[in-house]
Amino acid sequence: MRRKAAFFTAAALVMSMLAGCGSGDSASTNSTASSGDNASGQNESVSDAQGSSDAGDVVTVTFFDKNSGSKLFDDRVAQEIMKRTGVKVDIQNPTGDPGEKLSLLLAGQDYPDIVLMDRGSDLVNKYIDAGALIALDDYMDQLPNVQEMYGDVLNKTRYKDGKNYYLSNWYGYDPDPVAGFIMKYSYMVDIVGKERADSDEPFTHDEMFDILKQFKEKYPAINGKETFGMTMNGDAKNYFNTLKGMYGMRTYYKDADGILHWDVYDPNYINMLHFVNDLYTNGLLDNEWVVNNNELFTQKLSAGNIMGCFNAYWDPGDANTAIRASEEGEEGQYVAYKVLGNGIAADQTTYGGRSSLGWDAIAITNNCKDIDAALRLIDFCASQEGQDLMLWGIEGEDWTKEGDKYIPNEEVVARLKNEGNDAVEELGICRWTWFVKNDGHTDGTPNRIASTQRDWATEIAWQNLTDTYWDTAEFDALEPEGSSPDGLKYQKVKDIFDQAFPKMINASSSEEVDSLYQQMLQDMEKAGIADVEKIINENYQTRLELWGMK
Amino acid sequence: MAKQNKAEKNRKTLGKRIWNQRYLYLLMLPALFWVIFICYAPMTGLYMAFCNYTPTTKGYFHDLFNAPFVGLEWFRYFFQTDFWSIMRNTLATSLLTLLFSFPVPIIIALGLNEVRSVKIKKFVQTTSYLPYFISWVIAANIFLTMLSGDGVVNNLLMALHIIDEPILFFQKGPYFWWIIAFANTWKGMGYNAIIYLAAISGIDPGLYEAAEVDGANRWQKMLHITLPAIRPTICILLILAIGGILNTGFEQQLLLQNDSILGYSDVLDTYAYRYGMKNGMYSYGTAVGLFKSVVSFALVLSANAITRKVNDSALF
Repeated sequence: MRRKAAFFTAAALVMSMLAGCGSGDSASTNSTASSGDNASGQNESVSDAQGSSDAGDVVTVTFFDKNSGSKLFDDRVAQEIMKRTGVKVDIQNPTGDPGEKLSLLLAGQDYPDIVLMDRGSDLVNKYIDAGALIALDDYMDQLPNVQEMYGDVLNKTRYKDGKNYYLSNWYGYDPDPVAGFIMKYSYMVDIVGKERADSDEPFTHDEMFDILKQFKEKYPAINGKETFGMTMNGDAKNYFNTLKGMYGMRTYYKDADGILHWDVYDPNYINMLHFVNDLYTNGLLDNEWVVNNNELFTQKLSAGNIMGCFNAYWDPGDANTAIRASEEGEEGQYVAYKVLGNGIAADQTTYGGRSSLGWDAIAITNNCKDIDAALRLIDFCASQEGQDLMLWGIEGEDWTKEGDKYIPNEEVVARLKNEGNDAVEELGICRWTWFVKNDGHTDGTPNRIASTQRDWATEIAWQNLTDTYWDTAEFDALEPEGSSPDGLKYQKVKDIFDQAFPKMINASSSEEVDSLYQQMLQDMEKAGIADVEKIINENYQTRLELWGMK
Repeated sequence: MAKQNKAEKNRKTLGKRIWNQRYLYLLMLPALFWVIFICYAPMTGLYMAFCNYTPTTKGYFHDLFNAPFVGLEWFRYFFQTDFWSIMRNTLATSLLTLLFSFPVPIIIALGLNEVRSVKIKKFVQTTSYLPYFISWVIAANIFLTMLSGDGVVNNLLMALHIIDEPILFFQKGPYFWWIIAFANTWKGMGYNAIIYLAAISGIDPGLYEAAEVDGANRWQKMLHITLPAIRPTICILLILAIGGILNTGFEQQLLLQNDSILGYSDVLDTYAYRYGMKNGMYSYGTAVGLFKSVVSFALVLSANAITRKVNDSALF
């Protein structure tokens, strides 16, 4: 009797342990990686059974969105999308760095039915080369709305074999400006007077230098803290749009023969370095800019001892929200100004680099079992109806239409403006931004409901940053593939630059900048930059041919 | 013939033994399963370090075993380019960490053992243990703020007239090693002190009483009874620490580093992560990781051998 009891106890223990592993597995499979390999076969049937009992014969499509954070597809707009398409969307969130997650998903072939990734990165090519993405050309007759909305963009997003493997997101011409000198308006009024601070006339390099110097002399310390003219976000490294834009530089330096070179070979590059280094040696640049992460950056701007930053006009958004709520009010906000590098004309700056082919790529993978459902979802979201639903909300509640004219519900607009992310979470408008076309409606209203009213900082950016737009599309993702020996060299060259840049900016004299710059070029040559540039130019030529520009 | 019989008998007894203890073996089964499938099976992936792996859709194993074999090419590239600076950073950070984080918990444990007031003892123990539970993300921001140009540390040093200009701690390469060593020690000291405290509480009180009768003072008791008694524990923790010397940390470097000191902050783990994971150079990342594992393994074995020689206790 006792032996039997012992046997059953042992067996029960083992079984419960194995069962524990099993159920743990299925939970994680559902939330992270799903279909694909044999091991999860058992779990799949479980989730399928759940799916069918929940929603009748609704099909489920799994979707990885690199921007989804920890959001679930559960808001009112999402419900409406699922209702209108009859497709249940199961979002898979990136946990941590999306690029890393996508690399891992590819390595294990665990990627979901649809993936949304950074278009400019090497990942898209990796997915295509691996055969993970299905060519959409064979299914175009099921995508009438895509064909209508995308038009020529489809032609340009073809892979080198001439096929369309993905659809871009945020595509088309977008007149919204990007980067500039983002200065605290009240300090600008203080130093140059209200009239000049309000005018749309760009500042020259010398004028801006002088303004920063005057500021520093007038206010050596504010609130007991040392003041600085400018700062940057060293962690996000989002200052190049401003710094390169000021001198009219682009992704690569194109020489007279049309050959592309790494941007540091641009004759203006050294001038740009000298400008920032001059700020540093004169005590006008935050001497801890390189340590700044998002939190410190926002903290510093909100504290009010920094006059400006090199960023996109929306980057100080959190700081501006805090300032608006404080006693300083509207006028304490950071707003965009245009500054011309020496020898650069007003219409030659490149502050506003945007890709007409969009930020993201959305593609169907070969793990997708129900391609029809995925296509149905895509064609709906890409259509004008789908776009209006995602970016304007539900017709009749968030907006109405009189003839061709879109009339936003002012209450909704106000909530989106004032409550920011909370309103987005609750209303679902712009919570999911897929297949977004930048062009507005035919009646002149913008593609997003919140943009029908521009806030003050945006107004100023639109006023001051005119003539800064340029299309980055032809230079996107030309670098060699990661898993090739040239990819290693590319990464090494990038490492050399990343380490040299702060040293050059923080050099103690302009002679030191020159010598560090020469040293960097030598190191890059040693690391094999010539091979990397060769690949970049090959890819570039292939692209020009593909686009019929050659 | 006799031999055969004996072997048969042995086999029989072995089978019999297993049958007799079948419930225990049954209980062991999941652990065996775990070791084989979780610990050893994934090691097939190490082959990735010797080929140029690029994923296609034909399945992981198909890709892995059909990838072009490159031999030691990745290792060669690593040794030719970044090996020295990465190794220097890894060892410098680890050795400095070991220098502080090894003796500090012992001192804390010995000190706590001498404290009479239970309240103070509990308080010190809790506060020193607390950092262990703080995530690196938060700890990193605490350090960044405290060591910034107008942070507490600089203000204090300036007020004491030790320095005239704020020190920019995170822009001076070698400082980074000290900061990491300090941060690691601060985070881990409470946890390790508990292990020593547990060892101390296992010491026979009779020894202390006997020493007292012989006229030993507190210092002598600590030196001649407590320390020798926890020597095995110290040895084992030292072996573990030396085995992990290349495991110098990952999150702390990643969160505290910036471009201006990347030449000092980049260690094996962050390097393998940057190349292997972030840029999808799976084979190269695996090669760097494998190199690390091999060296770590050799270090554990040698540390173990040395401690066995020096005093008779060792891990295995």
